[in-house]
Amino acid sequence: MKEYWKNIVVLLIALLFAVLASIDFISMQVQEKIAPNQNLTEVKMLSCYSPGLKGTDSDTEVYVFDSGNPGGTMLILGGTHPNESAGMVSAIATIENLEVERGRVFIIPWTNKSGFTHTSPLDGMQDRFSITLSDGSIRTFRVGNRLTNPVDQWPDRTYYEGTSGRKLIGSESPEIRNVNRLYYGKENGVLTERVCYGIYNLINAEGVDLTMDMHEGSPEFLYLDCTMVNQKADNEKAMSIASSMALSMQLDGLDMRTEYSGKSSYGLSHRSLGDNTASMMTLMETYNPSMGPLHGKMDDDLIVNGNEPNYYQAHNEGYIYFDVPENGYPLAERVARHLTCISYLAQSYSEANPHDAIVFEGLGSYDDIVEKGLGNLLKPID
Amino acid sequence: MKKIIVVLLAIALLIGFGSCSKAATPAAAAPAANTPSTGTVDSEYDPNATVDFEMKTSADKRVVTIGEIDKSLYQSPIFVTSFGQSTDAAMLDTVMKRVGIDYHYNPTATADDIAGSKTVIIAVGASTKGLGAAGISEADETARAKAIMKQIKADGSQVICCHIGGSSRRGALSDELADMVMKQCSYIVLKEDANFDSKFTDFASAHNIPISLIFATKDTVSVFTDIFK
Amino acid sequence: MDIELICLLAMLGVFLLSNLLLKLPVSISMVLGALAGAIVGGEGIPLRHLFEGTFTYVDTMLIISSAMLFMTVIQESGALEALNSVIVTHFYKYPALMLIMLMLVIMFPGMITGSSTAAVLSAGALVAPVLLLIGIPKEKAGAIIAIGSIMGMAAPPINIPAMLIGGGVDMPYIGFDGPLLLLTIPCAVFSILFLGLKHCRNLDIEKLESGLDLEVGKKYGFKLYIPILALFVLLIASKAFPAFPQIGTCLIFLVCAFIGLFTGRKFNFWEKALKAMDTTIPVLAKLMGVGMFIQIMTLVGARGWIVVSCLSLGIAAVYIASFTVMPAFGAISSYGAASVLGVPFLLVMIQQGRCSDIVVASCLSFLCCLGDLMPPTALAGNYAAQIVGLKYKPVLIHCIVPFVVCIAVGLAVMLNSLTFA
Repeated sequence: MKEYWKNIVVLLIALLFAVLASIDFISMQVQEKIAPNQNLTEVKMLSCYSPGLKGTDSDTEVYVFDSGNPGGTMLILGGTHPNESAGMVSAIATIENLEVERGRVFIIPWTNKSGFTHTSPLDGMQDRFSITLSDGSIRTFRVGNRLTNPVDQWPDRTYYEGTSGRKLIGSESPEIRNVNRLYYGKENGVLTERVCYGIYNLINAEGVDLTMDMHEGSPEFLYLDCTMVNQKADNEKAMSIASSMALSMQLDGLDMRTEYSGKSSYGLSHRSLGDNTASMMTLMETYNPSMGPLHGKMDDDLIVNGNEPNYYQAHNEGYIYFDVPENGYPLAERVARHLTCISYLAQSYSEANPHDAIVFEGLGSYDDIVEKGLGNLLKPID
Repeated sequence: MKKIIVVLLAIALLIGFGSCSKAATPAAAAPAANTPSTGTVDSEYDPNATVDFEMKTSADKRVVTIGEIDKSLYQSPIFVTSFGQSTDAAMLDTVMKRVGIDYHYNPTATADDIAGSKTVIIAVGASTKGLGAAGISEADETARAKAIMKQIKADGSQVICCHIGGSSRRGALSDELADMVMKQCSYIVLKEDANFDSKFTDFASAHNIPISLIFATKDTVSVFTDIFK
Repeated sequence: MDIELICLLAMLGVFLLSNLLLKLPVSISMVLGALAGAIVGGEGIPLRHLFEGTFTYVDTMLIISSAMLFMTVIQESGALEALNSVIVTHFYKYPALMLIMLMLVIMFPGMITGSSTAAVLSAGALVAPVLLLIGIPKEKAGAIIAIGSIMGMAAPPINIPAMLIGGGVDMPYIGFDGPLLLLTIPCAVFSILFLGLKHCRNLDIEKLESGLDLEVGKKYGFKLYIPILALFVLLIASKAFPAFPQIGTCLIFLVCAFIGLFTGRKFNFWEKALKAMDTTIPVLAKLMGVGMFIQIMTLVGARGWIVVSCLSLGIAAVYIASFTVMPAFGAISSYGAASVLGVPFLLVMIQQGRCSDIVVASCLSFLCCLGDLMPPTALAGNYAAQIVGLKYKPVLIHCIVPFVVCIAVGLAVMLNSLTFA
């Protein structure tokens, strides 16, 4: 009998810790609030375009800005990979500041919403970071995992072939939970594929002309400060529009180059949505040191200030190709870069397609955003 | 026994980690890891191509021109095309738009398209992805380039060789196309990091061709504004 | 001194103290080390990180548990004993072949559970009498079982250090089978031939048969092997044919264990299963402790610090450490060696480029596994010595040559990783 009591006490202690920890994990289900913007037309759910998402943790908000004036349609995706914070913050900042004058803009800030509800084991990832606004209030944002939460989609199959023809086998099999590997999706596929299908269907149903998918990468990555552009015979304008955007950014003093979508990048947004929809597809990456294996202590300084001396040292010693800034690459600059890219893309698109122009205001120039800081760019929540 | 081993292990670890000081010799430029967890794959962008060398241009001195450029040579009609189908051609197209002059742009132009042009600007730089996207084989691209160079010779047009993709455009095919263009050109515009082996500057001085070294792709705008305006 | 270094030293210090001086289990020591790191790193007691790290290997733990049940069933049903008899009676004329097959039997439990202890205690215990019967001296038989169990631990499909190293760099444990077989099979073959072959000249079959239990095999016949065959068929089919229903490794083990209940000797499954889980739980607990340890190392920046420091040291130093310090660390825990040193070493080698990450990770995990031979803990060695009724020291001496050969093979493959990718 005494043995049993000992076991019961051990189990109870374990249960106590489990309950305390689970409160923390469950709190990640609560999503960030977005400040009201009087220019916002409506908020739809992605399940309008992919009925299989209804009632799941992956059904996500689509913010619609309709100028009421004729023009083109742009789709902005943030949070495809929830650990790439600049994507989500840029999308939220856009929603809070945008004023569309011609055409329509659709924005999805949490593209893989399920991914925002967990972090990646062993990465020691902080689940949240905070930004102090100019009025002194504090806004908190989640940092998730690039894959869908296994609670929502598990186990990973050892072999899977998506609609794009990408074979998820071997080292890629966990990617069955990665939104950016399963495009153009499948109406009744696995949960992550239904998200992809929703976006594919949105592009087709709303006649989206131009799409930007916002990402970040660890410093080892070769495609930083680069925009991937789809290329296909019936959309030859795409690279010309992207080059115009890149040159504008370069003239503003920002590094930016363009690359064609990779031949075998099946299932990625710029490749598979580019091949299968009429939209011009682009994807941009900024540097995020918190995602790399060399990162030091995980804290707000790393995530918000993008300050990682380890990477600066590794770059100086010749291991990291990317020109790692000594004093970090703050989230404000990364967000500014994404927003500048969006503005110039829309502008270049409009110059090439004057009848389908997409014209908006409210985002400001790169220097404006960096000078104002995220504290002014993001609006207080009442 | 165990205690001795513990102490020895602890000392070994301490020495091991302690000696990991910051004062170590910098290693030779090594490639960055290919992190499978991020974004896209199959890059042809090879950072290994970067070789440290003394550059003439810098962030403060963005354009360095060696030799005298005779601006009067470059008359309209102007034609812009690509040899190698890299993204540099689209960039050059954008640059020309900014310069604000009349020109024709066709990255896959044939010799016939080019006939009659007085100035031909060629964006040199091979991209397997670009060739694939345009559905052109390497052999076809080389053949097209040869035909165009032949046409240019017959027309007596002026050629500007524009290599603005940097060190990542220094593969075998890129170099073959660049050699072809340089033999007939009267002016070279070069993003300087591609000149790590001084291939371009050596050719230019040997054949007395003016060459403008630029620090970044965007500096092409100021170079061409200078030439055409 | 960098704060990251202080955290690292605190973690290692608390871990070593608890394990070696306070004699706490490795798993608990890892937990205490992780807690110390979190506190020194200014994180307090970060419950979410402790939990997240602990549950990293939940899939692996389920697989090990189900594999242990399967192992119990085929051991108790008499399948392993029958297999021994078949190998000896059929192949005694070809001693080299016979020895190699016996080595594979020793390795088998280690291969499917990833634990050298499991290999020594199940198949090792059954093969040891056979080795002695053949005429191999006790200390060499002990060495064969110790090395065999370690080769089994390192061999696919389950190699836990490889999972730990891969997990630490965001690399799924897939595609390791080829490189791990390449490392383990030649080393295993060499070891048993080196230690055993010269004692197996002129075997007397009658003497051998009198010492073997031939009854089980005769009574149940081929039926006995059905669970093992079923296991191979299911494991291979689910990987080779995408259309094959993917029931998962755990269920495959459980289904085969269930079949085994009806194909051989009857036994009290409940009692034996509990006993098997008793030997498994420390392995599972270690995995949980290691997960927590790495998570905290990453959180406080110690992992990044080690990598950057190793980068500055230069790649040569890392290679030297990988075949000296890393197996030596196995004296404490081979899992610990994989997570604390294997992960950063792999990162350094990947940063250097021009290597196949999976092959290098396999080699590092192989070198970690060899740590299980290191005194004073020497899990595999101590149990093997117990089985043949000796102290560890004489057994260890006979392990030296195979050990050095294994290190050399591991290093050679690692330095030529691209050739083997």
